[in-house]
This record gives sequence, structure tokens and C-alpha cells, in this order.
Amino acid sequence: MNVVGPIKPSSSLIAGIPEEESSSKNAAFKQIQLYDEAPQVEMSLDQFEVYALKRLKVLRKLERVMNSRTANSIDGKNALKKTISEELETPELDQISHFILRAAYSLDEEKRRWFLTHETALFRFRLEQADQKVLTKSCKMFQLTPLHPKEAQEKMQLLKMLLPHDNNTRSSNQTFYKVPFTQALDLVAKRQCIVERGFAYIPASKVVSILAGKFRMLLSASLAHLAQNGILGGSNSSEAERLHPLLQNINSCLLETEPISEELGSFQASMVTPGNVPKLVQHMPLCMRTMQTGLQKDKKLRYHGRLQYGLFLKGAGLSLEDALVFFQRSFSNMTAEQWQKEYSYSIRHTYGKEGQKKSKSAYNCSGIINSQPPSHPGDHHGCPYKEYDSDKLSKLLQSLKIGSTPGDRQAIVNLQKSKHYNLACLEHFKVMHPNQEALKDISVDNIGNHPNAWFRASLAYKEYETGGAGAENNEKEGALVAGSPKAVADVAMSSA
Amino acid sequence: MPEESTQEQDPDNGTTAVAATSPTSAVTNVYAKDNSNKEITNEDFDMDEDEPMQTETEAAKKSTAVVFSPELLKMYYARLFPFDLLHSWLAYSPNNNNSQSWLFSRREFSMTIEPSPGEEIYIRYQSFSTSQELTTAILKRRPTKIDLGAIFSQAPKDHKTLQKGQLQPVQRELVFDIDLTDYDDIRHCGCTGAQICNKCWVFMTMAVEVLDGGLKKDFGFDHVSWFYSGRRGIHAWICDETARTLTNEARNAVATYFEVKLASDNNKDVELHLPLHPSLQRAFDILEPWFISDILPASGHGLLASPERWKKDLLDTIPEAGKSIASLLEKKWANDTTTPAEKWEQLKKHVRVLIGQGGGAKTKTAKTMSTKDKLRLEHWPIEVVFRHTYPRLDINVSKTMNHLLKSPFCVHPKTGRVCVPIQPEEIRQFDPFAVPTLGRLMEELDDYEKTAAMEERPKPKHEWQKTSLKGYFEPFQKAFLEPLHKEIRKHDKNQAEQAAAMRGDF
Repeated sequence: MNVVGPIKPSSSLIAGIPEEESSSKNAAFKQIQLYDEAPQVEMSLDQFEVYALKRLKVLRKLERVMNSRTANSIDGKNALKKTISEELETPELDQISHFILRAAYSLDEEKRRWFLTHETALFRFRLEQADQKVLTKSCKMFQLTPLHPKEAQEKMQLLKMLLPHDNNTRSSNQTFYKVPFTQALDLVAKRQCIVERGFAYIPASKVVSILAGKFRMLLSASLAHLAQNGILGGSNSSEAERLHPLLQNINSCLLETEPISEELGSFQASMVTPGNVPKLVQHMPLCMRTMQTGLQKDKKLRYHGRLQYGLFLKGAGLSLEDALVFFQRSFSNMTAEQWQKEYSYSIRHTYGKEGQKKSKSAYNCSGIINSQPPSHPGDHHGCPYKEYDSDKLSKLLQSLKIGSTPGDRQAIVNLQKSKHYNLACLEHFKVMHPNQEALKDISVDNIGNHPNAWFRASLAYKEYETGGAGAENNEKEGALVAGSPKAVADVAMSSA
Repeated sequence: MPEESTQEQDPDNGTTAVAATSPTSAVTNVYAKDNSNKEITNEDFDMDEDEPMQTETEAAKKSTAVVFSPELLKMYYARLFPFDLLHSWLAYSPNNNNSQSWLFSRREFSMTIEPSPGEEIYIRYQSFSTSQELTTAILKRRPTKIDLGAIFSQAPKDHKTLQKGQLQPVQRELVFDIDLTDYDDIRHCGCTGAQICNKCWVFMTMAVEVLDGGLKKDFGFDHVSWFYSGRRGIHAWICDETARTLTNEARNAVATYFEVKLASDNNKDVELHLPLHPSLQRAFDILEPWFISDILPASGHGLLASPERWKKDLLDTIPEAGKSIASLLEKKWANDTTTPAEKWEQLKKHVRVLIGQGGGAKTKTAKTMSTKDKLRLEHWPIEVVFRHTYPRLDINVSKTMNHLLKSPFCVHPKTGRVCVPIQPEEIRQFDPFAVPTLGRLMEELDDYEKTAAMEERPKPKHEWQKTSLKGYFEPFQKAFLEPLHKEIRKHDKNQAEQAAAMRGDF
């Protein structure tokens, strides 16, 4: 398949989309697309870029709403709905912008994953907002037909348990779907469907999940294909020459994939030294703090811990030489020889000096939360909000003297209980940094999304409190889009 | 990850009891020593790590004879190793030997070899185009361990000449790995780590019964093969084509489906939903009888056999709202003669009554108790049974296609036992201590030759048929390989017919 190829001279602007649907307001929001066929359109390069940025704005908004307290509130949903309707005004814009970003983000793996996740979330969000009619239509789009009533009747005894308890009386006219279990993986993993001889039986209320899964699969396959065969595989070379830099530009904006250390002012980079890491723990989020404590206690860190903590310190500005000094000092229970032989390799690997020589950037929160959970008493990695129960967490907070009142700690624990790990972490930050005045000048955007953002903001806060010059003033969003054209940067900024 | 396997080693390993008197004992222990010769830097490297080795008292008790040595291993490979079984399985082709199967030739084999005593080298990305090539390589290298990886898009042996990204795993059996090591907190037979005994082997029996049923009934997998790992665990290889082609995501989902997360020190908030999911209900129905017969009494793991145990491990774990039951039963049981099974029934009954499900008039507490507390109490007996019996999977082994897992039919160097197939229907009769060691196999061969000379029996096709391996390998052929090949033949025939129909020549 060739996604951008079809963008070549063509007589009509939009093919195959009925007038009435594109003219009505909200049409784009309501019309759920599979994006299974690339549009045949002619458009200016400027427009190309504008379309891309419009979609970017939607996906970023989505990301923010998903990660915020308002994720499930009516307000959050309405705000998101509004952005979608405003930016993706027409179904054709929706379609074209999707394909532009699909092409641009197929260029590297991390962005492919980001795009895949957020496009799927967008698709899912729209389905969740959709009415029954749209949903049924979407099921048809994916060739999903309801379970035959006779079979449903036969299996009712089993299927009944899938329905909410108060719904038992109406169960006889409930619709069920039957799909190969591989199409309902998240429901299978959570045992939220009946699995029998390789088929998953799903109540209509859960069918959104299946559709989203199918959508993700199709998109994932297409992205993989693009990654392997190149975006412009099928189009002629002059077309490719014109579009490629543009796609590169779009690709390079938006995501904070660059190591955060590069954004740090030099004053901060030089602040982190092998000697002062233990003192800086009060500026670290809980995950890194427990790591340092674990390191001091065990005099070593196991593999995942070295990776998570090592990359964090690297992101905080610790140089390779300093990191080697720091870890060797901390691994104090072993001989220099043993250190050299067994561990120094992995630190150098972190800095891209060994193995595949790929420099890695620090894990963000979702990376940490979704990583392999600690399974050994010597494991200190992972997100404590996820891995600890509330008892252990509140004891830990208390022992670290976090918060001036028990209420402060309770607020953190409550968020953790409701599984809002990121918010719990943000709350921890707020509790530790109560001066609203100071916070005005500090970028707090990514706290709760990236440990390094937490650390950076905490240091900046201290700087402010102790009267340091506002060294953080170039911290705003613009810094993320280094290297992209100004116009792109402007639109991206305005979406903030 | 490879570094992990060296640093966690137990420094006391040198004292392994196996073959302490044998001149070869120095060699048998190298497994536990430094693996610094490993040359692997591949980040994707994933394998079933060998945990710190501990003294295998059971093995020592059973026999002081040599169970493993490089010489014995050489003999085993030369005379007994079932190359044809391994090949005809992994080729997924019923026409053995002469046909070239890409499923076989693109399979990654990796080998642990010992060029000299105490030195250990791990070689990855081996692949062989024919059974003969594999045989030659194994006879030459005599690996102490063979691991099987994925089937790749290209022959893995060419990995150095291929461009990055060209070597992609495309198929792999869905595998499960269960180790008794993961049961240490609930084993009360005296075993820890790599030790096993018949009392704790029962956990493996339960695991097979639960998983085998689930894999077949729920997921529709028909070609599931179980193996004893040779030491302290079991492996399952699910070989249906649908299983082999599952994505990593799907593997993860299937493994998670079978995983029951119970409260741990770090996380006490656990949710089971009632009514139980059918798969869990089925597991519970299998497991509760085992729980009563093998976990509760003193002859098993003694959960309800002494006041200390039932207080600490049972009554103290009753949720807050049910504490009255704990104190009541503690007093009652202090001097009565009910059996552990009866105590369990009493306990369950008290819980039911407390939450108002015992029939009859509702107690005062039942009326005032919050729904949440009621639910917690209702879940509690189920949680207890699952905690003490439900299979504990090493889920990471199952999650990805390119995770290496020890090959069936090789020999565990610490025990000398062969990694033999187990028939799930006969899991209750399976005795890990009856699995032949290399030492015993050689004796059996000798014995056979002696009696055969006298009796003039017809010569069997394979040498392993002269030993007790026959009792393991033949059922594997019959119950696993034959149905597998039958299905492949059927599939091939259908395809050929379809192709013929397309061409129009029947």
C-alpha cells in the first residue's frame, strides 16, 4: 500500500464523500472512518502542513485529557469533542490529515507507537460518543455481526455473567458478538468476555473495545508496512523530493522524544555530580527516590533498576564518566574487578557506548508504569504508585516526611487508590512545592508524565525560592520543536 | 539481561551433592560457576534463566551413583537422543527426514557448551536445514543445554550477513513455564529453591490440570505438549498453527488470562469478581479438592494441621469485617478433634452465615455490614484456595516470540534427568523421581543387551526403546505427534483441493 502516492493531480478535490454529510456541522465528529483508503486530492504544500497541524492539535489535546484529572469528566470529554469538531471540520479534512500524519510518523518507531496509541484512542473516543446507529454501522464496517439468536439462547447461561447484575431481566434481548479471541485481546486479558474454543463472546456494551482493537490492528499493520517499504515507495521521484522534507518536519515536531537533558540549562547539567546525587533525592519523584534508597540499602541495583535510574540520571545531566563513578561508588560491596566485569558494561550501554551503541533517553512515566513489574526483593524499579498498596505507600510518604499534614498524604494515597498514578505523582509535587507564585514561572507541564520533568521543575522551584535568576524562561513548549519551521512551531505552540 | 544470570548466583554452589564421590564432580558443577564467557550483547536476548542452584538433596538421597557426566552425555546423544522425534515435531511435516521444512530450518537453536571443565560458552542463532545437520552438530558439540527459540523470517545462522531488521521472528509455539521455586512461600514440605519432593510436586500436577483444560476448552488448542523440565518445573508447548502465529500482544493476553493476581506484600488490593469467570470457576472446582486433600492436612502442607499455622496463614488473613470468626474458631479449634477438611467447611460456613448467605434468619452483623465488606469476605475463601493452589506462571516466558526455552529431550546437568514428555491425562501418576537419569539409562541399555542376547527379541528401531524412555517417548508419539501430523495432512489436502478447484482440474 502506498499512502502518499495517491496525492497527485486529480480533478476533484474530494472523491466519494456525499455533499450533505460534509456540510452538516459535527459531521466529521460523527462520521467514524476506518481510514482504509487514502484520499485522491490535490492540495498546496501549505495546506498540507496546516492539515497536519490541525490533527496534531487534536491528538495532543487527547493526550492531555487522557492524562489529566478530567479524563472521565463531562468537561474533559466536552472539551475534547469541541477540539475535534473545530479542528477536523469536515470528514475529508479528518481523512487527509490522518494520512499525512500516518506517513510522517511512520518514520521512526517511537512516533509510530505514539501515533498508533493516540489515533486508536481518538477512534475509541468517537465510538464511545456515538449513538447506537453509528455503532451498529461501525460494526458492519468491520464485518462484525451479532451472535445468532439461537446460539445466544443456547449459551445464555454462560453469557449472563457478562451482563451487569441489574440487567439480568433484560438479558434475553441483549446482543452478543462472537469473534476470534485474537480480536478481543484486552477483554481476554481481563477475563471480561467468555472464551470458548478460541472464540470470545462479548456483550454489545464491550464491542467498542473490539472495534478499537481491529482499528489498531489495521493501522499498526499499515504503519509497519510503511516503515518497511518507505513512505513514497510508489510515487515518482520528483513528488518524493518535494514531500519528503515536509514530512520530516512534521515528524520532528510535537513529540518530546529528545532526551530532556538537552533542554536543561548548563547550570543544571553541571549541578548533578556523583557526589550530590544522594542530596538531590528530595527533588526526585517517588520512583527515583525509592531507587536511590534501594541502591544505598542493597549496595547494588538489579538490571531494570540500573536502566531506569541510570537513564534518569543521564537525563538529569550526569555524564558517562560521572555515572560510572557514581554507580561504582554506590555498588560498594564488590571489588573493582567485579564491578568492571559485571556492571560497568551496562552503564556504558545506557550511554550508547556498547552493544548496539544506541543512545537511549530516559523512560517516561508510561514507560515506567508499563515496564516489567518488580519480581524480586532486590527490585526497586517501576512506579511505586502502581506497585505498592495504599498501606505501604502511606507509610513510605510518612517516613519521607512528605506533606505537612496527614491530609496532604491522604490526597496522594486517594489518587493512587483510584489508580491515577500520574496524578498521585503530580499531587506529590504540589504538596512539596506549595508556592503558587514560584510555580507560575516553572514549566510543570510534564510532571506526572516524565520523572525528569518533575526533577527539573523541582530544581527550578528551588532556584526561584532561593532567588536565582529565572533560568527557566526558555522552557515553554517552543523548546520542543527545535528544528522545525517557524510556522509549524507557532501552530504547535498555540495548541498548548 | 544475560549479566543478571551471573550476578545472582549463589556463592555456595560448589557444594552440590550430585556425584560427590565421582571423579567428574568438578565438571558437573560448572553450571553454577561464572558464565563470564557469554558473549551476548543483544538487547532482545531473553531466556529462561537458570536460577541459583541449590543442593539437590533428593537426588543425592535416591542415588549416590553418577547421574551425569560429559561421557554419559556423549553416550546419550550418540545412542538415545530422539533426533527423529524432535525433527518430525519441529518440521511440522508428516513426511519425515527427506523433506526440507522451512519451519525447521529457520528455527533458532542455541547451545550451552563446555569446551573445557569450568568454562561455559553460550552460542545463539544456530539453525540447521535438516535433521542430519542438527544431529551432526549436537554430536560434535555435545551441549549441556539446548534452547529453542523462534522460527525466523530467514535462517538465523545467517544473522551476521543479514541486514538489521531482516531477521524477524515469525512463528513460535506458545509456551508456559512453571517452576516450583515460585511456590516457596506456600511450600511447607521443607523444600526451597530448586529442591523438590513428592509433596510439593503436587503443585505441578494442579498446574497441568488447570492449564491443560483451559488451553483446550477456552482457547481451542488441540496440540498441547507438556514436559518435565528435568529439575523443578514443567513446560507447556502449544503447537497449533493458531498458537504458533500469535502476536506478542496475543501471547500476553492469553498468559494474563491464566494469571490470577493475588494480594502480595506490595499490593493488598485485589479484585476477584463474583460470579467467578467460568475459567476461574473451573479452576476452583479442580483446585478445592486438592486444597482439602493436599494443602490442609499434616500429610500435605499442613495449613490446618497446627494452631500456629492456621492462625498465622489462615485466620489472620480473614478480612477485618470477619475477625469475629477468627477469634471464635481459634478458641473452638484449640481443643477439638475435627479433621482439617471439617475445619475448612466450618470456616466457610461461618463466613457464609456472617454475610447472611447461610440460610435462615440474617444475623445482626449481616444486616449492618457494608456491601464492600461482604464482598471481601465472600471472596476470601476463594482467594485462600487460589493462593495455595493456583498455577504460578513465569509469565515473561510466554509473552514474546523470541524468548528461548529449554528444548525437550535434553538433560538437566544438575540432576542428570531427561526432559521427558508428560501426558496430561496421566499427570497424577507422574513421578519426577522416576524419570531416568543418564547413569540409569546406561545401566538399562547394558541390562537390555544382556537379556536380549539370551532371549533373542527382535531388535527395536530406536535404542531408546530399550530403556525406560520408551514409556515417555511412545505416548508422546501417539498422543501428540500423530494427531499433529494428521491435522497437518488434512490441512495440506484441503489446500491442495482448493488449489485444484481454482485451476479447475479435479
